[in-house]
Amino acid sequence: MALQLYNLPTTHYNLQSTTYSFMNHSFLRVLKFAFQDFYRNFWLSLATITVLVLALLSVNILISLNAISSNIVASVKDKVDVSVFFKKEASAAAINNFQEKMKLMPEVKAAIFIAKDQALDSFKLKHEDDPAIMEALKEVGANPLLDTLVIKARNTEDYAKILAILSLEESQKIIKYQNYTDHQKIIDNVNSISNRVEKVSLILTAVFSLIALLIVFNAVRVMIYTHREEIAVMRLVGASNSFIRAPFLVEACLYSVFALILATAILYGLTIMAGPYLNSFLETYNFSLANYFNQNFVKIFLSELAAVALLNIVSSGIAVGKYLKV
Amino acid sequence: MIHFRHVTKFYQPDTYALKGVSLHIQPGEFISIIGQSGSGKTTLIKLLIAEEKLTSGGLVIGGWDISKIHHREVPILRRQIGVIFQDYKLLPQKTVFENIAFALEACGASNNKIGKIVPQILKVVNLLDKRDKYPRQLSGGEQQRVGIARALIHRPKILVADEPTGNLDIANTREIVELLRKLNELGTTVLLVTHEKDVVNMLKKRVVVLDRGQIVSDQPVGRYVL
Repeated sequence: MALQLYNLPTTHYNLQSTTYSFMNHSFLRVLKFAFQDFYRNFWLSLATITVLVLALLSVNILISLNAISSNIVASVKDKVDVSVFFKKEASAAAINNFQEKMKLMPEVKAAIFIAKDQALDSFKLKHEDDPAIMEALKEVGANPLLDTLVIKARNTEDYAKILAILSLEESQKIIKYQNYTDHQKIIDNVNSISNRVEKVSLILTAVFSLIALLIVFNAVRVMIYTHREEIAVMRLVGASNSFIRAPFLVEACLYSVFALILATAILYGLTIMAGPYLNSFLETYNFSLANYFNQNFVKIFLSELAAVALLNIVSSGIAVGKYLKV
Repeated sequence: MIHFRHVTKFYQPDTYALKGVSLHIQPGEFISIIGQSGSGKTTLIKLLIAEEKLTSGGLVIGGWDISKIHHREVPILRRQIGVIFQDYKLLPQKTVFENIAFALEACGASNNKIGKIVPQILKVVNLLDKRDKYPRQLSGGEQQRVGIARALIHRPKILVADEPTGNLDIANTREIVELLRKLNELGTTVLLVTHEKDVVNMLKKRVVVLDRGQIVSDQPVGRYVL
């Protein structure tokens, strides 16, 4: 490289030396070019952001559906329990021992004792408006109910182990019967639904992510394609590859940030609008979608920002590289 | 200054754009390269600015053998050779000022220097009052003058003009040719590729004729003869 061998021509205009420090102002310049291109190609920027927003919304809708379905399944699972009814002759100490033993099991979430008198009071309160039942109770005279232990497992799969304890000879000495067999079918159904929901969610998440990825990749490629001639001109006037590429990468980050802000705003808007309808359905399960997003805000939206920005940067980098071969 | 040594450029499957071209251009020379379409004129320029790589032979510019130039050195070469294109090749989303400044920004010039140099060069091409216009708001002649200003911004030793008047009317053509002649008088080596008879005859400078990738004539003070 020895182009400086000959004398510089004397020109009639007074130019300064063109030997500059390459790093001077580069970062600020890259930022300036990125913002300039963003607002001077406003409609193109808007179109790209719209595609990103739609991709993010579809992913967020999927996240909402996942959250709702897993909450419903969890809520149904939570309603499942085993009621153990003790024999009349079972002593309070034996029942107490049994309760303590159950509580010590790692699979047991709660073991709540309901004394037969307490059960009768609750029963009476519940059916006070039903004269037939109240009359029947009077007919029976004594308290027909039994002392009960309501056992809740941590996982529905744990009921098998609990049941094994209940069927031990030692336990059967004080247990008259348990209603687990009544719940067996429900538990099996819930487990089966829960597994299916998980599988479908996984497949849907993979499919949606792939579609979103392809759409975003394509949108960025189209955006860069419209700049292909400019990229070639920049190369021809002596801009280095990194100097051409950098503003596009910064612009890709800008698109990601704007798209995420818009998608989040729309998502919250939709959640608020659909709130009354969703709540009437979901409050039985003690679940609020808005609360879910509030609680997981940082986790969800930061990972989405990172994913979209990374995807945009990679797409831009690949697309720009294609036109840098001039 | 510029030395083509038996340069051949071959395009697959069977096209020779240049075949064994040898040409020596002295510093400060004004050379016109003429020839019919497909004679290899544009290929010659593409090789000079490393837009294409030669198939065989050697190309030395100012002592720099660019026949094996590294991809990363290409921008450095292009900053030292001013190129004017027939279709101007301006950045449509940048103003006149920004188009010229971009060439300086690309090599890291400070804003202060850009603020001083660009207005000076705009004055030379008589476009100071159009500095904030976009290319689409300019006439063809004005756009070409922006292209010339951009080509001159690095004060290049070599100015390559690829059909610079191809899209211009007579008045603008004369203006551009005069500007090129003036730059040459001030010491810049000018390599003009054209197919315009009047332009070549007006200059009365060295004329090289290309035909099917080969030099068929090289006259020190030539006229347009094909």
